[in-house]
Amino acid sequence: MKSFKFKHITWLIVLAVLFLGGCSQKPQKVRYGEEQCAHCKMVITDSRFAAEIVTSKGKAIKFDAIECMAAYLHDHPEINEKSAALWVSNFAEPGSWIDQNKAIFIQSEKVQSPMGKSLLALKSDEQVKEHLDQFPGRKITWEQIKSLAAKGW
Amino acid sequence: MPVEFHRPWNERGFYNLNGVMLLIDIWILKTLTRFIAIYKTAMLHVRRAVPGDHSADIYRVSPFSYPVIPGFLLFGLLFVANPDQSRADDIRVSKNGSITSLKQGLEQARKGDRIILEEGTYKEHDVIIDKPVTIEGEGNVIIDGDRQGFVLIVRSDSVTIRGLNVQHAKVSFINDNAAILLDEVGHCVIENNTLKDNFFGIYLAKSYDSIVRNNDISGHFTSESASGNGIHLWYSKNITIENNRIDGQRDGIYFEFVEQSHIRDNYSTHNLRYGLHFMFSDNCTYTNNTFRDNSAGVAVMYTHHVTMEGNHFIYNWGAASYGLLLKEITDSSIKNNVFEHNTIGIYTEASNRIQVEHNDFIQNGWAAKIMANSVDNHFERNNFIANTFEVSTNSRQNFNHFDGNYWSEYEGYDLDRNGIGDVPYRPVRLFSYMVERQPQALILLRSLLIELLDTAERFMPVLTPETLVDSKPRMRIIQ
Repeated sequence: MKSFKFKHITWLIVLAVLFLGGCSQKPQKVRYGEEQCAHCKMVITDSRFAAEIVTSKGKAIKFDAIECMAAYLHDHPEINEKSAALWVSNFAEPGSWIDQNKAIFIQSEKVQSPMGKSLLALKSDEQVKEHLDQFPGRKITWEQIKSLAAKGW
Repeated sequence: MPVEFHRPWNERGFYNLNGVMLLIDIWILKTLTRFIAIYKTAMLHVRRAVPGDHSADIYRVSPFSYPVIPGFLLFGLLFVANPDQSRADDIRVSKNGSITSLKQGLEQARKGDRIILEEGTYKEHDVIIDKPVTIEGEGNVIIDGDRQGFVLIVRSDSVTIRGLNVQHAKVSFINDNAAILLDEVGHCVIENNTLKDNFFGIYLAKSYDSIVRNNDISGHFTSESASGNGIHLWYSKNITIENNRIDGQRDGIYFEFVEQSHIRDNYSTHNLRYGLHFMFSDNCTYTNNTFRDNSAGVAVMYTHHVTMEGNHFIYNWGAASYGLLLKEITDSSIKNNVFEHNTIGIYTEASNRIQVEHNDFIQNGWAAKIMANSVDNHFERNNFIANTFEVSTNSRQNFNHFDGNYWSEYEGYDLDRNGIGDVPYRPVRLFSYMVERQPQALILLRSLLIELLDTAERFMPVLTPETLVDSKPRMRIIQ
């Protein structure tokens, strides 16, 4: 009887993990060079700038640049920014993701992002300092990025 | 040692006589002013002369009857000719000469000089060209950047770079290292160069009034983030890109924030992303180019007034590949182009008032995909030949116009024999509408059921846009 119960619980845990796993809002892998940006339709190639929205249902919407993600959110008010997870690439560590809420955004004067707004994201103050020592630019908030994207191109 | 005969002139002018010429010029000017002064006094005498007094008659002769003056004028003109050019020197750089590197050559060069590199390999990187000179290769001249950074950086107006092989600019995630960078300059010419295995090929940043022609640019890239563009223009104006060949870069030709520029007669192939990538570049023209076998085709985005004529978009196959992708393009024209063997010939999104005329769409998966947010585009006198889907859209509404095209799938008749079919033609198949919603349905493409549904829909359109119709379909291919 005891072992049966134990089995039962194991199954429950396995199911729960699968269920929660299915709903995970972790960033999904971008197939660079194959997938296209949901906003501008360009092929996503640059792992320094890519961005991703993972909706509350676990659907990933992928972008080639931070400005495209902001513009897409502006065009699609049905996406709830609170419940969806927003991910941006770490410019200093291509291929790794940062949560939008924790990212520090920079509008560069030198670095060119795929859609012309020169936006990039970094994860820590040290990275920001190191970057700004090398390339001129200034910090910009997510709210400012959204109003920038709302104005359009 | 052979005796050299020194002529005071060469093919570019009397360059050895510069100092003397200046003196002669000054002397001519002086003489001329003296003659004018004499002439003025003479006229004064003539006017004051009392009738009957013949003492002033000596002045009545026209000064131009003195053969001296026109003679001097001619002589003067001969020498005033462009002193800048006539002062130019040739500086020879060779592996076993007195100047062994381009950097040394540049140090010694003066404005307008010509630096000639003799055959050999020069390992140099980040060479800054900061004076208006011409750099020419003689024979097989290789400048090897040795993967250290940029190779040639142009920071002066009026620089010409001709006949060089430039290779091995550094691949970098931070800097856009290029074989040849034009950095905020104008009136430059980059021609007849071969650029191999660089990161970026030719990069123009904030430059103007320049020409890039007859260059051969190739890379062997496998990953897109670690490859650069062939010819990259950023914030530039009035540039001509002509007769270049670009193979295996990321984007063949890249335009961002460019104005009034021309791209013509180029051949862009095997690029990892786009053959031509064109953004925010108003009033530009591209004609007679071939974009072949690029993994995503050609993208033209966020631009007004683009002219696209006589281009070939061929063999761009792939799930996200387009012959021509148009996104937010307005008031533009697409004429006399050939779209052959592409997954999608033309894809338009949010593009308005485009005149699509006299193009050939041959054997594409989709000849044209027109999204519902594209309005007021005119498709006239095009040939649609053997495409799997001719026109496809994602909406029942249609705000675009089709008129007088030839459709190879058209099955109507022409009783009055005026060359125009008597039955209007609906190029949107019901099935293409279904595929648009449910891409997996494509597996049913050749099934009998689908054929039946399509035929039924053609007679009585229920789901396909009712107004998307060509009322004057041509019976024959339009030449």
